[in-house]
Amino acid sequence: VNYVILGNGVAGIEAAMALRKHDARAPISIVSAESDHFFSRPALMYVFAGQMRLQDTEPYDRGFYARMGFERVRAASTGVDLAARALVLGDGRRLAYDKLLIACGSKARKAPWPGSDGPGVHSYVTLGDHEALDSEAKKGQRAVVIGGGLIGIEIAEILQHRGLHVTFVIREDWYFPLALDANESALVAAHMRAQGIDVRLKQAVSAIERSTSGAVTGVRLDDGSVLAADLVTVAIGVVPNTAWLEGSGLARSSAGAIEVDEGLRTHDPHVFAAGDCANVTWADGTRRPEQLWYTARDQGRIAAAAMAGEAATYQRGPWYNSAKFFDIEWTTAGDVPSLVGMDGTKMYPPRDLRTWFQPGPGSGVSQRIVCRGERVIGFNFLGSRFDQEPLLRWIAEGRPLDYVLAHLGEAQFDEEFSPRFAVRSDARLIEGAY
Amino acid sequence: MQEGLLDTFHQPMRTRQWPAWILTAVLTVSYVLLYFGPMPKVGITIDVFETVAQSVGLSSKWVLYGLLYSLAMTAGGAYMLKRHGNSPYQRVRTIVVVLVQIVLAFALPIVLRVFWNHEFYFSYFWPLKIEYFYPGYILQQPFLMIAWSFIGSLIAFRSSRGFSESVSTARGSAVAGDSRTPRASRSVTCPTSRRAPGRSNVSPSTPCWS
Repeated sequence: VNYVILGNGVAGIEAAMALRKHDARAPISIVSAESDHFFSRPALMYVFAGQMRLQDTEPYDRGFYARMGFERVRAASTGVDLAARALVLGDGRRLAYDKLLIACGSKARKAPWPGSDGPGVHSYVTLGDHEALDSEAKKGQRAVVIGGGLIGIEIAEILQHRGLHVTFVIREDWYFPLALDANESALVAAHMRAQGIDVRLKQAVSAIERSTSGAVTGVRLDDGSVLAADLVTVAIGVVPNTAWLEGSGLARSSAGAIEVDEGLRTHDPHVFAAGDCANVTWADGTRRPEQLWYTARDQGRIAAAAMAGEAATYQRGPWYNSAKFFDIEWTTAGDVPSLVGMDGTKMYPPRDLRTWFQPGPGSGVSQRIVCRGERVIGFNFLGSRFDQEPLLRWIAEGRPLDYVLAHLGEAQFDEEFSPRFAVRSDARLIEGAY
Repeated sequence: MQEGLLDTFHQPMRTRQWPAWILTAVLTVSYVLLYFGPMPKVGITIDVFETVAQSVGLSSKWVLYGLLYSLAMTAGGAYMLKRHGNSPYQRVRTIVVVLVQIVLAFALPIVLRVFWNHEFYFSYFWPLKIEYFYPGYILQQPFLMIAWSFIGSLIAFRSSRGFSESVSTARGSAVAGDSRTPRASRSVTCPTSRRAPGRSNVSPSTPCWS
């Protein structure tokens, strides 16, 4: 069986490894336009931050492909010929396959405003995006970062640290409403402002302004004001990198993600999809891509099993995630209702929820626990480290709030001398989600 | 801002570029001059450090060296606090390290000599110098010094045990919170090891099976 994997990211590499385990001799080709070596995309930001070199983000040694018998094809793909079972490459070559995995990931959502096209406007998803921003960001410049999510805040932090003057423009009422409530977000916004970031909430962009020579001069907001800028970074999310499939006959969702079944099979029995570009069913029954590292890893393994003809079912486990807002660490696990949907629309969380919340100790620290009836269903913690494993276990066991509060300190793993979790007098239990 | 975590690979001093090499050369030459003193064969006829020490009124080049070392430690401690001072752990340990240098390693031997006409250098603990554990040597020391060392060693043993326990707990139970979000995700893990060890972001690039 001739396997072709499109994508040198975590989904593609995990699939290739699983296929090799299944079949020691089958030809496996890995096609990528982006890079010769698999690197950890979440760690790319560490390279931009100067904490690592790119090669430090490569999980495997450079002899990996040869040792595993993976043939690398460094080319962009322009289409897939389902009838002839061939991947069409940008240089005109056709790569024949028996089983094809499409794991081509995401690309940045394009800035929709006039003036967005051209130099000086950046995004941050691919290695190419990284190189462009890394080489252009210079000390003393004025930078405007647009978008209230994880990439936006990290770009803002790093640019600020590099000596640029950063304005962070957020369309929503508060920073990162997808994951933070108003209280939590206020902590983060205060922290950002204390570091010197100019945070603008509830500000929609209407245009990128350019000089006659084409250089970026500013960002025009809906209220008519203009933020002066030498450099703009747009971090308003990602979209499946599937425009090249136009006309191929593969079914895609309205958002462009490749439609797959629970075995990550497309309607064509020889073609599979995994990772950011695959439209999968979430725990809540909705269908959309999962743009996460660990789900891409899991999907790569499942897709490989399906490609090898084994029974395979992708089942999304409970949600967990962690990140950092500057040095405020964020841990979430389970079901924490969002007040804003993925597409920016207002959400109305179920009314049968109760929320336990306390700020502190200290600034930039808070704990939020979401309950349905007596059972704890979700956690959102800022500023201290909690192990997600016991949190998810308590959710699975249906533990009540009292039990969880009594044991929460056991899940904390902050450094020595950090304040330990304790229920304090300013803790509140509120009906509903807020 | 957690400055300590940013910028390492943009700093010439920390990425083996020319400023780092110059510093290396300066330090190497300084140590050669300090330890070997006059070297007539290469044209150095005076003991540079001893001369400098005398000219600023210090009793020997070793006091000068101790002073320079303590100053470097203090400056390094200030730098460390600026970069990592957002963490209580880093604050405590940095202050302890600097104080140990200033008080125990530098000042105390001088104080001892003033009061007892006897020096004791804490920088040569066992196992660097096994003689310090011979009863004959220990009994020559001032009694307070023996008592202090004994109690101090108990504290050190206790705290190192406590530390390793807490580290193993954190490692054993840490979940690989992989996510798209950079810098928080324990993201680069060997596919066969489901749990990334603690806070480490990159596990060594080991082949996972062959």
